Amino acid sequence: MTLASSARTRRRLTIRRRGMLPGFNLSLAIVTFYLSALVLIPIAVLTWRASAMPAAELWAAVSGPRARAAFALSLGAAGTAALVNALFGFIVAWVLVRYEFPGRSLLDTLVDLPFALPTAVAGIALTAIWAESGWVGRHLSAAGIQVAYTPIGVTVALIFVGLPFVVRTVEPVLRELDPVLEEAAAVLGASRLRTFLQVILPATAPALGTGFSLAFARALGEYGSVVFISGNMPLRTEIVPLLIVTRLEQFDYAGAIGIAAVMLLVSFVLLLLGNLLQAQRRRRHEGA
Amino acid sequence: MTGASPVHRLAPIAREPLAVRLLLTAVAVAFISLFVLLPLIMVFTCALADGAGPYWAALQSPETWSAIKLTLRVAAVVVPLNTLFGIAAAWLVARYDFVGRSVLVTLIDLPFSVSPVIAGLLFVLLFGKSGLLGSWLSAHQIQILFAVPGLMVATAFVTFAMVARELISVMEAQGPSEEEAALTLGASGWQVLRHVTLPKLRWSLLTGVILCNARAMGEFGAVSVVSGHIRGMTNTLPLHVEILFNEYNFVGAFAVATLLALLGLVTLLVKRLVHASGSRE
Amino acid sequence: MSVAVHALSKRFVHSSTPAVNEASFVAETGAITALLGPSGSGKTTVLRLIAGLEEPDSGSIHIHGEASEKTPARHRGIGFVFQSYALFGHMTVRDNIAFGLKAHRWPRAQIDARVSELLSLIQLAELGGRMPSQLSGGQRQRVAFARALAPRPRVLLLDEPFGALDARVRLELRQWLQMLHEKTHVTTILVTHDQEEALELSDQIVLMQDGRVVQKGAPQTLYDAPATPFVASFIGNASVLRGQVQGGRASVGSAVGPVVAGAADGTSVQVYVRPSDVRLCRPGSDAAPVSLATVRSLTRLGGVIKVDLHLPTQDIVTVQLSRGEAEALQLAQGDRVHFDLGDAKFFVGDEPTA
Repeated sequence: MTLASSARTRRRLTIRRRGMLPGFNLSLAIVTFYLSALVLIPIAVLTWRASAMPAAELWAAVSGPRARAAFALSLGAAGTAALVNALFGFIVAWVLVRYEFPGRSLLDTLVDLPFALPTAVAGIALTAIWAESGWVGRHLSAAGIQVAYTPIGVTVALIFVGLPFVVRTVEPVLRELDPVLEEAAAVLGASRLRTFLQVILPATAPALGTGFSLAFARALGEYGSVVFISGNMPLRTEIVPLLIVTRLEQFDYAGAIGIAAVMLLVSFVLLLLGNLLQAQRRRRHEGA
Repeated sequence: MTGASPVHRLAPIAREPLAVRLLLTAVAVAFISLFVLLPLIMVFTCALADGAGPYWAALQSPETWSAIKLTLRVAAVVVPLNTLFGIAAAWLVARYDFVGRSVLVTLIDLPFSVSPVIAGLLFVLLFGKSGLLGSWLSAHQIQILFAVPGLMVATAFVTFAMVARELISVMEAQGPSEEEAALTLGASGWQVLRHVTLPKLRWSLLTGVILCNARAMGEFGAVSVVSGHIRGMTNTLPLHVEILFNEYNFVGAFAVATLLALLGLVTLLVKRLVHASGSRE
Repeated sequence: MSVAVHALSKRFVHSSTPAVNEASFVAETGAITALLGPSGSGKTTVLRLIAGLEEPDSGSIHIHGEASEKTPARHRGIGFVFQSYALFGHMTVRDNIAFGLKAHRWPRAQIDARVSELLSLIQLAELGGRMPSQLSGGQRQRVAFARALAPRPRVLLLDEPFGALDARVRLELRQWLQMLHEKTHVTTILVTHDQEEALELSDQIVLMQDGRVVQKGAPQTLYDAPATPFVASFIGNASVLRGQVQGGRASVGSAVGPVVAGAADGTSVQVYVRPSDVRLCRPGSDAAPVSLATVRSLTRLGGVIKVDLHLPTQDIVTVQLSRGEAEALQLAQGDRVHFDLGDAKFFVGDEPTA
């Protein structure tokens, strides 16, 4: 490369826009301003406050018995709920894509409800259902199972919250599956189960993984749907978001920041995982 | 988020047996009924548990009215602002390529993956008395936390990207050819936006706006942290529901909840209609 | 009014090779210039640079003598027709055609008159109130032409305008474009990968490969005198034969070609043979077997006969004969014939022989 051309290349590494539509500067200004004011600066403040804390204090905030119990509950319940959603969400997606039955349209609309219904409304409704006197709760308590005010209740609420994520991520992939693949497998003599395990599942596994991590991430941070049914008993049914709120109300900023920082980290990792899975899926499709 | 579309037809040789199909359908229906339909029905049943009279009374209480007005006020500010941002962001991300574009897209997705409680915490750290701007704010007698502006900021954060995400994916799928054609025909940037881009986007714009609105009106976690729960002043509808429920005023809580549930249902309905119209074009 | 492009270069943000590399040519006023080449050759990028839809890294663009590289697209006075039509889906046909006129703030009456004029020009006068989704592909493309022509552009730029249409519609529109050009005489630059289209429609072909202009000139010139093997292979459906320099002449087996100056014996030679380049005749009784070709197969393609010949060098060459010629020769599969590569294009390395 000659000196002249390397100089040209260096110039190219500055903000080089492709696309000759007018309005680049204006839209960049609006986006940068709004993004900074609303998102970057607040997050920067949290990061700054968290890094300004002495490491010992940060550790104490996160490792106390109450915090550990909260993390265990949040992670455990979110993971369980995401797994349940992965299994049943897949079935729902399958049924919606492949079968015709009365009420299919209604089912399809209902899948989006957890997304559209305010979390507080979901929270009190779930409590009313699963409490000992509730419609479902009373039958279960006759069998000796208590749901509300236990970790099971927390998990139930998180299932509600994460439901649409799995269904809506898996649906398009199922829909795009070429029927000829399954027909070819059948003609070759494969049983339906074998076809499912060796043809369909591998094709939908990445989407299922993405849906799982999206549901998991959402469940981790969920507040409104859970605080009513959980009972919020420290060390037993206290989720991490509630612990943050409690510490804030007690002006224990360090405690709140510590936990929030850890949660943010976990969210970022999950976001990254989700993005990586999606990018891998895209690369697979392009290579095919 | 898609609507019901034509069913995928396999040759009979490749289909699973009828019994399996019925079982799977039954499982799916049961699952959705238990976890989604039942809570929805519950809201209305509990609200009307004592009959229509107490239901209407709960809705007409002055505190409910101020909660409604406050919720509407917040949405009326937050939704247009986020829509404006959404249009600018979609134009920027979908029509240009530049260094840092993927970082920008990740940043736009960020508030979506953050717990609403942490969102509230962020603004407490920024605007609170011991926060970054705390002393400056009290010196100028501006109150953000525990007042309406705080609610607006927290709600704006949480619903930040809802319009943008909707518009970005659609604009990327549609491609720039129509805008470029308009440019070669002599249109200015604003003419292109007004006559070509926005009309093309009208369905996704509507979807994004109603989703943003539903989330803005229904936001609980973030708003709970920054509001201070001052009855009649900083209680939005969701916070009002919480207060009534914690006071064991179940009919009242569920009555107010029906308003929010209706909002959710209307949102879903509009989304379905938009999807149907959109696919007809 | 011409379009002069000089040393135009463009490299896109995420790629290491330039999309356009020092491209230069002149599109004459009132003529149709074809930018021809395989996909990835840079021809569409050159067109978009001329239109102002991309920004060049270096080089100049002169439209009617005015330097235009920095002028925004909307002020260049060009009309652009996209391969995907890019009609405004939410506007009627009339509103689509009127768009450019409204952008230039023409008075209402003039807009209506001009739109009606164009609707009859494209022969869609009754469809003015329809939406694009109600039209066929060919109709939509005609509307796209009308829309581009409405503001009376100085230059018309066409980006593979018929690429999205099926074969019969493509041929119909090709003739229609010729008729349109005769009526309007607008300077036109047409991007295509279809060499037949370029040969039929254009007054000048600019052939591009990997971002560079490989050869430019009248269609017949590129056909008769290709400058490089690439040009010979791209234009005219040629078969390739490989041979060597022997005794100072390029030869393929025993078929001897033109004299080659300055190349040693044994240098490799490529020969591009078009179906119409080879002359066949019945061998005389004294012809040496080694100079004859064997007829491998005969196929009737409608009104012509396609003959595959097996050369003594094991190459296979396709020859095209009219029904008359074939009947005169009375060819059958397995026959030996004498072949003459007289009109084929010989290349030593990358250089054509005289």
